[in-house]
Amino acid sequence: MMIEAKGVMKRHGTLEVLRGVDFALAAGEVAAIIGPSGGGKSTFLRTLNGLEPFHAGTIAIEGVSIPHGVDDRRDAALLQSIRRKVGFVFQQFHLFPHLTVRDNIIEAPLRVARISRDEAVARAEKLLARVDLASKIDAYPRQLSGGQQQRVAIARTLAMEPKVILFDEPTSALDPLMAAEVSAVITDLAAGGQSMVVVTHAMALARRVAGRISVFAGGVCVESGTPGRIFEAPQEAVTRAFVAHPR
Amino acid sequence: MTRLAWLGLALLLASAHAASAEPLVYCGDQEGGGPYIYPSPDDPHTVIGTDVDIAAALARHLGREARFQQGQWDRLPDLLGARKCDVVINGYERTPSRVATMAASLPYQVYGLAFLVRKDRDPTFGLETLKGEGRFHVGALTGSSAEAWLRANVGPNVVIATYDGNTDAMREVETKKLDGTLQDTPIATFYAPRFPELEARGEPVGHGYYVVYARSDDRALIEGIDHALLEMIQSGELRAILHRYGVWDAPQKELLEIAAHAPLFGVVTATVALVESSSVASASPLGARPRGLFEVARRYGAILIESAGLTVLLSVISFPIAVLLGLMIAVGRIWGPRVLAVPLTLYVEVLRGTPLMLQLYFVFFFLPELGVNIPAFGTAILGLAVNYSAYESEIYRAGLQAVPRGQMEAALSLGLSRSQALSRVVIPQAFRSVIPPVMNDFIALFKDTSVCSVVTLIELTKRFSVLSQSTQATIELMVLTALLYLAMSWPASKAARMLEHRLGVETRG
Repeated sequence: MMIEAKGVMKRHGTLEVLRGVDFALAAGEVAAIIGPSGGGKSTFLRTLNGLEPFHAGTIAIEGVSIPHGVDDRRDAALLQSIRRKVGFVFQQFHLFPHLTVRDNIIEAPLRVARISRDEAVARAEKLLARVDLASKIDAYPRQLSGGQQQRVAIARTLAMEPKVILFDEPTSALDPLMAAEVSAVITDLAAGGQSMVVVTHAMALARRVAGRISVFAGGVCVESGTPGRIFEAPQEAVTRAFVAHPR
Repeated sequence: MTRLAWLGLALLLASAHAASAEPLVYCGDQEGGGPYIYPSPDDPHTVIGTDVDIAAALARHLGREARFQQGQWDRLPDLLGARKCDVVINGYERTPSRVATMAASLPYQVYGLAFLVRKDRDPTFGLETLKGEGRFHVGALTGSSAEAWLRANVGPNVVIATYDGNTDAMREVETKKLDGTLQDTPIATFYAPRFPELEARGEPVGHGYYVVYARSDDRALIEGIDHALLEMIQSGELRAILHRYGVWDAPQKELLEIAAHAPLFGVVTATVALVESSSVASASPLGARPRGLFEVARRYGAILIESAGLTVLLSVISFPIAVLLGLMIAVGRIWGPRVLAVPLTLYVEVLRGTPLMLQLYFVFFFLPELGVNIPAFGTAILGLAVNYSAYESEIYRAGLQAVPRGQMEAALSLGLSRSQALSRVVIPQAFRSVIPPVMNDFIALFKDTSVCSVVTLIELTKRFSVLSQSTQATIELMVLTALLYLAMSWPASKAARMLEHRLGVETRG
């Protein structure tokens, strides 16, 4: 299994954010996670690459477990190896504002994968062409629209050749036109066989890219199935309410 | 282990032996001025004066060479205690409290205290007037016997103002800010030509002696100096020196009486050439007061620029260290292990909460007692860098915390290590936002280098004080000094604005 999570629990103080999540993703599979706000979708996604610690249950990436209460200082080596396999795309892009598009993309390949500069730049050029931004290679992030920034962020993640990419609400910060550009890129990646988990409110995107959809509510995964089943024949009341009025 | 100890002892003995051939280091403050130690009017790089000549003569008698060590006048005993010099020779009076802590030589000069007032002051005004009714302002040299005499002999109706330079108070009397000043007779005599509007009122009071001080455990040195002094008095050498500076006056006869008792001190010389004392002063080697900006610039421009060089050197070496230290502290406080939190906070608060001067003083005068002897320049660099690192760390802490959390998360998610994420992503962004306050601090540090005079360095401000004391060309020197400071700080602010602009454009993109 690419990702295997069982009974994952997380508390913020007294608030139980995750109350025993089960989730699995096979290699080559694309999963979408949908559900009402506050259901634990983003938090769960962030536990999968160690951005958020959890205190009960198990998470394994290609069989390598992330320990409870994972800590960036203490588990630095483990987390680095996990993050090289698991890419992450943020809702707010988080491009590095002091670096050009090129430097944003080649930073990790140079310093983490330690490939040559020429190779890294060639890779950046190829990826930018793929997200249709070849002409922006010398631009700074602030010279780009939100949609363009998110596409650069995706290229930056792809440059590390992760086995699976986690998308955290990738189109939520964008207006519809720009969201469409980003959705197109994600759809293209899915078609290319990239393993992905997409947390989203965009039902159309979920339906288009995902082979399987998980519905999160109240800190658990309440239902999981093919897009057809989730949208046409939801089993749970929460799912029925949500697909009728996504919010 | 024992072999090592023997080796250490042998080295110690060897070095102790070598020390006897070393120069006789005497400390004094050239800001104090004439007739004791002041920059030569012909070459301001060298010092001249009665104490300079006496030190040279003493050293010669001891088979050593005299070497001058600059220090702040009221801190000279500390320099002695910290082993930065062998003796204090700088118009230091023999007082019970000093004799209690240091070894004192025989007198080499007799002084009185002259009360100087403006000539146009009503003729009845004198020291006696101070004891009566009315409010008066009187000046004296900080920590001098004149100050002590005033404190002991006048009432609370007299405000005693103290000054670091001999002539400061005399100038204040001339400009009527003070009613009078009590000065050691050598000073009053020596500087009389520069202050034609002043005169001494009444007979000198508070008769006393200038002596050489050494560390209290250095009795052998003081005995050697006593022998040398007696020989110098008997041979007329001392008289010649004091005469050269116009300060061999009637009271110095007392020195001859002391010399007459030389055999009591175990000194018998073949010829006892008792030179008849003369109250006639020779022409003073003070030189004419330089007049006009051009004349002052021509004579003292070079040495002012040199001192400005020291100011620049101190700033450009210490500030980068301060920035680097500050950055490390800020990173340590935000992301470092928890055990570092308390010590780092303490570091910042203690260093920000105490004056730089005190810190320099601690390093220069206290650490030697623990066996850590750092030279003056190193002390200044260390003091400035460490003191400013506390301020820089706070600026950086704010700058680092202003970088959005997502930047760190994005960097970590790409597989960068924490230190890579900091050095490549977070710190460069913080750096851009803190340029204005950091440059502000650079200019502040640049001017704070003047505090380094407490550790014997003569940077631009101290040089200004020294020259202004000995030349009285205060206005001209002030203008030149201010121009030099501006010439240095202006390009710095200009460069900062350019850097800010360049990096600013990049971030705005």
